[in-house]
Amino acid sequence: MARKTRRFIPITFALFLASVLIGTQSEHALAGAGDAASTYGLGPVNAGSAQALSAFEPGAWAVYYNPAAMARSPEGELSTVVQYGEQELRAKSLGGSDPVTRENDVLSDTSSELVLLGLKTRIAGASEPDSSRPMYLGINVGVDEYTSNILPFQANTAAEGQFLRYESQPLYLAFGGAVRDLVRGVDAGFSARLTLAAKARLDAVSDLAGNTDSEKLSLEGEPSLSPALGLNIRTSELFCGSTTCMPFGLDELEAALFWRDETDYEVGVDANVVIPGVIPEPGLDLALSTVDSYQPEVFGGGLLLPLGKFELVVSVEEQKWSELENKFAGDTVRNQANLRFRDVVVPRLGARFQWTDQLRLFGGMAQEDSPLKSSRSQDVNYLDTDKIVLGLGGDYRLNSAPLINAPLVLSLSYQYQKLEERDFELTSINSPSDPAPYETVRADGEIQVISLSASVKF
Amino acid sequence: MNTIISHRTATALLTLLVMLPGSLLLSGCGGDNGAISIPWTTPDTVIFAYPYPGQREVTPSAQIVLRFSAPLDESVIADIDNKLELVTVEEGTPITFNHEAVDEGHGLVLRPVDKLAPNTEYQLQLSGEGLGSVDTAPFSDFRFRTAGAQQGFAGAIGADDFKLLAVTPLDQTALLADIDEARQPNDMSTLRMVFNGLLDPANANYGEQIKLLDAQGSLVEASLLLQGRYLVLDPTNDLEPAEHTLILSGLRSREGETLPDLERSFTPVATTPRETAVLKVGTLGQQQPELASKLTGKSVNQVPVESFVLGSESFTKLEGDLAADLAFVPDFPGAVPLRVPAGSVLSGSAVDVNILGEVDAGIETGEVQITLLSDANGYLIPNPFSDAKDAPRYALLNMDAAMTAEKTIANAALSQNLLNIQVAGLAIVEDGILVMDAVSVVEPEILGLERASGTLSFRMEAYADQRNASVPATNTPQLDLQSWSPGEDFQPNARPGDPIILNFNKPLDPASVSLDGAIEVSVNGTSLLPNQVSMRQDGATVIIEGAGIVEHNQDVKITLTSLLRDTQGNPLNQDRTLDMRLPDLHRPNGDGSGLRSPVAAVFPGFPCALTGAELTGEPATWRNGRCVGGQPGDPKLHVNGLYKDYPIRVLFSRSIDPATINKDTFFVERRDPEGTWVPVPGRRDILPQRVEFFPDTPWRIGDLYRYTLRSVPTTTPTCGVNAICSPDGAPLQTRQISQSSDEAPAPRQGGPNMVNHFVPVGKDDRYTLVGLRVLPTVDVNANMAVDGSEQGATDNDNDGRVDPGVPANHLRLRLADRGGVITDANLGCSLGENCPEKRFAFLSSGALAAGPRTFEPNTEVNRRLIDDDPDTDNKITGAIHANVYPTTISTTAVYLEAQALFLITIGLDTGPLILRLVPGDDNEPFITGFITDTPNGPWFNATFDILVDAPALRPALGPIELGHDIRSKRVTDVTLEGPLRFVDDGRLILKVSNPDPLMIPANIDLLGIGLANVDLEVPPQAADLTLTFLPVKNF
Repeated sequence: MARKTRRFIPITFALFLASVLIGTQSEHALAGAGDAASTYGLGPVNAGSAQALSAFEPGAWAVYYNPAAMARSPEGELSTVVQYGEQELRAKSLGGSDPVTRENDVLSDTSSELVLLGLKTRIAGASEPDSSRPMYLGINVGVDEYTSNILPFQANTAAEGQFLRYESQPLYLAFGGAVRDLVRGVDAGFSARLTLAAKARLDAVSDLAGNTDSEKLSLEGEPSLSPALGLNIRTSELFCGSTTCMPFGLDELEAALFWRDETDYEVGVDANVVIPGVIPEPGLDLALSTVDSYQPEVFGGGLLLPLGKFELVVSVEEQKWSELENKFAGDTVRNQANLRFRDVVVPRLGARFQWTDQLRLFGGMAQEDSPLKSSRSQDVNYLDTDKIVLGLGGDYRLNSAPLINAPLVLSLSYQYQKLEERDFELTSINSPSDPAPYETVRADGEIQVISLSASVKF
Repeated sequence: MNTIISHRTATALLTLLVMLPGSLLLSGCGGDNGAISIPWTTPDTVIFAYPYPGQREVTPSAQIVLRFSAPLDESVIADIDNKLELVTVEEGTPITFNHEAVDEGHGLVLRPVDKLAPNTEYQLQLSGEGLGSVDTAPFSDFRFRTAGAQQGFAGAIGADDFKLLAVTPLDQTALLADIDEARQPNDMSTLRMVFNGLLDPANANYGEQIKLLDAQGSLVEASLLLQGRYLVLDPTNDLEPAEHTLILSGLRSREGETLPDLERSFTPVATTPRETAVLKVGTLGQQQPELASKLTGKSVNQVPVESFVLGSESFTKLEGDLAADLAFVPDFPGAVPLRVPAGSVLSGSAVDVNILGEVDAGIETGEVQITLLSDANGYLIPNPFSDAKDAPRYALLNMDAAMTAEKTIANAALSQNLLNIQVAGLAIVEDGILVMDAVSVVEPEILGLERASGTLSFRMEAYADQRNASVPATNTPQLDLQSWSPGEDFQPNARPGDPIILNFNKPLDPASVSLDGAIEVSVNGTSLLPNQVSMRQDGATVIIEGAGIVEHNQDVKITLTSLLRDTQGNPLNQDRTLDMRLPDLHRPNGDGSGLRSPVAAVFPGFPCALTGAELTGEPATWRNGRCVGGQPGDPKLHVNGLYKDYPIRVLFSRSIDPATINKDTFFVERRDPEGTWVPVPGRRDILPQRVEFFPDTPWRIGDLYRYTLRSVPTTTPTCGVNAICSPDGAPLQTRQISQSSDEAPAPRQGGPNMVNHFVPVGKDDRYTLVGLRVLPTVDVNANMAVDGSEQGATDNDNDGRVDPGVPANHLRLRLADRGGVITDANLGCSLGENCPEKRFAFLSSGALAAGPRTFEPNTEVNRRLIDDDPDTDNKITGAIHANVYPTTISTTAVYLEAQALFLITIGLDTGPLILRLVPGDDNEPFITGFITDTPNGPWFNATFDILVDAPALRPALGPIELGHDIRSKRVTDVTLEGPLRFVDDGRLILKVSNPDPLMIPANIDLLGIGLANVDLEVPPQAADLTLTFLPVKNF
């Protein structure tokens, strides 16, 4: 088994990975691009198409976007992604009664470093005689900061302001399956994303200097699975069977529908301290409960129309951000902020061009409105803006890569996000002007993402 | 080929892949996120103030203690007089203060030059442009109110009708009133009531006038403490969190006003589960004797006892552990209730008792103990001045404590309750240790003479390991009666109206004192009912009102039982029975009608009806006049200066009828600028043999006042209308001397109104007023004769020698010479007889007012009688100068038998001798006495003149009446000296004698032609003047 594993890690790939690691040492421990899957896209195709192609991309990352899409291609793959994001999130002070001292407008220029490993394999109907329906299994693993911190978690108040999104994301784990032709022309997929609800409990007896005894510490991470469903419809097959019957030459038209439930990482810390001489049993309870890496419930669909060497994709998804209001209402860090969110509809448009047998180019764009309705959030001071996402990329297929003698697809993409200007009022319980705002800031920013992947096909 | 191309392409692509992120990174370097700093520095603020804004009942001798979050600039400190001002709210009068920076400018202490006025609202405000960088918001409305006085002037005690001002914690001060957790009582609360008048202890009993009822309407078990305007109700057990009702009904003021009934209902908040924090008063770890308080800059836990009579050098250093109960902190975020339980004890080092700080008073206090009499209650609240995260919390504590001393005499002299002590401080955890620095001011009464001021600079630290903290000490010795007044030895020194004072070795549980059977009093074998005996507890003492008990001619028995308990519940070690019988008062006719008119001793002023007052011109030239009945050449007495805090005090030679003292018979007037005398309203505190007049508003320094004691020159006064009278109807005898025996006042004759003038004086002329009575005396019935059961000197062996132990207060006389027609004479009995026991005149009545004034290091005093040998000197340099105010002392008569021309035998009864003690120099306003140090205690010397009168002496040759010159007969340079000693009950007794002979030459004449002379002499050490100080405490 060990020998077999080694065979799967090509030296080239290892070199490549090492170079990237050396070339882009993390600047900050808490660097990050939060919620990479929904904010940027996982891997070159999703990032480079502004997630427009995501509903139809049959690779390993379909587990996240539309598990049914795995059934679109019988090819299995083992894909490794290194994704680097450079962000410049700005908050320009427009003045106020007691503004924060800022050397410049840049609030965050941290980078995100994401390493992903995806596997997709056919698990049934693989051999020709097998008449059973083809079934596929996909597994995704992703960690931020090049594995140096597999469970970053932040829930802060910030006097200078902080962006709602684009922060580190915790360990990403998802798996799913798809079946082709559940009904003729209709593939279905189901996946689940693993999230953790971490609960820490500390009971201790302490003196006022913090010297503890009789400690009891327990930490439990309760996993929960958040489901996603997808359907892929080859319209011609569904409506026409083996013939072609669709009008306007739409025989190749495919449609996808997908739904992902909301996810978040919860952390609850319950501490109880008895301080002899000050606080007797039942002690002083400190209870913190907070969430991070929230991803809204998404319902969406897309249409794919191949046109010669082109594939055009239109998709639209509704993100149910308003649910976050309830989450934050019970969040001890943010409950005072009284944050309001709106549901947003994100349209995406993408295209792919098969240049040669080996080289494909793709691109896409999306217009995302900010889900953050509040322009003031006590202490937390969240900033978020509308943005335009543009992406461009390509992949190159080596039908027989050196050393591994198997098909290898190398992909590269670039994504650019333009965060549009929006004004916010900052408030803090610690400010002299409290409860009035002490500063108005104009948030905007730019994000650039480079995503690289190497996928061994089998 | 294909493969090669593919490989090349792949390599190129790989290179690109590797390079790209790096180059992108470089391109992204343009906008490094800039440093962000939060500029919101918390403004420099006040973080501590004592008194705090809105504080009530602030001790008038309080200093203002401020602490800031950052040090003040030196320039600000130097100019503080122009930046801060303290004014009275009502009139805006600025108060002069000295200032001192403490803890390197972090703190500021403002010391008013004069004590703040009681019952007055003050405001601390900015007078300049702020205090440097310090936020001045707290000074926008920084007011506090001083406590009303616990005695003295009505205006200083309170204003308006008698009412309850506040019940803590039902009526919290502004600082706490806004905090939910502090707004209502909790299950640990003690109810502390403050009134605007002095409560009559005889009408303040728990279960009667004062009740605390639980939800079922049952009386809650509780202790009651009462002192002046304060009433403290301390429930014995924790209160249930159900509705309680406090009912006050029928409470009376000492003025006799009745408090309108009132009911207050409340539901205490449960504070459980509670935790106990053991705090060390002092510092943990290494001893730091030099540690100064962060707040006051003074040594921590050192309580200075600053008073005029003791000086400013005395102090006690407190130490001990306190166990504080804290409410369940998580339930009380705004104010954590805390309690230090009753019975907690702090020990203090011995206090040096030096008169004016210079002359050893001759008593040792031993260890001083402060014992909490009730549960002390308080709160820990967030700093009211600063939101800064590092601002310490405020700690507030109200407590009621008893101060006691280990040694018997000092305990009797100093033991007292100190109610409603308000402690304010800061609490913060430093290096894992909860540290509290706090300030409080107490005003203990010193020797019953004046109130000292003690600023406590508390420092307490909580033991780090609370589970193994030391257990607070308890006051371990058994409860024992240490002394009592008048005691077994000093019953002759007591007079009706004096209280009975029981001094225990440790504080008593006030609830146990009022238990039936704890202290019983019987008179002539009949037990008095509890409502016939009024008692109050004060520290380790119980004071029993003397009226009806401390009387002549009755046997009094006081029984103390083991129901009496100390604050820890330990019973009295043994039952005790105290027997008391004052010297019998002989009533010649079997009733009062045989007694002589009472005589008054007064201060300020001179105890006679005066004539010839001179009240024009410079005040220094004003004269009060001379006694009516005296000679025109008699010295005119000076107008006394009365220190502004003192009342007019009148002492009587025997009991008077209190009902005859009223606005018509004892009144005070002030001369207004137009020269009109305007009445001065005031209060008369009347005891059977003493009355004090307190004006409603303080004396006006420098103004001329006069007071009148009314009498009529007849034997038939209208008592209470035109005269102060004895219960048997004799008017006050205001004239005792005359120029002829015919005019000598009859025994029950009054005299003209006694009018005395005085001028209130301020701090520069300050003295401590002490009142001394000529006690004990043989002449108990004050008729200026040794009669009835009164026993003078005796010669039981008939050996011609007087038995030792001649009663105190006498003049032993000797016939030194005779001449003229008198050919033979014998003193005391018939010619030829030997009667040494009859050659005594006994001092019969009188009192002295004196006032230690200043220590003069260069004064030399010769104490010739220290070794009982007048011929040896004992000189010392450095003495306290005391004002001894001129007064009158009367004596009983002496009999003289003389033979004229070898033929006629004449019996001469001198009648009462009236001795007027005056300064040797008529320009001096008073006699100066000197108090000096000896190894055994203070020594008193004074030299003065005596004007001797024998108004009733009527020499006669048969039917021929002769004249004599014992009228204003001046005996000059009389020196009296002797020891000033404390006795067990805490009182001082002064016993002086004469080192030199006193000559009283008497000339007898017929129609102005000298016939004879008889020279009487008081040989050295033959005069005994014993003066007993007034009781240390009054009921």
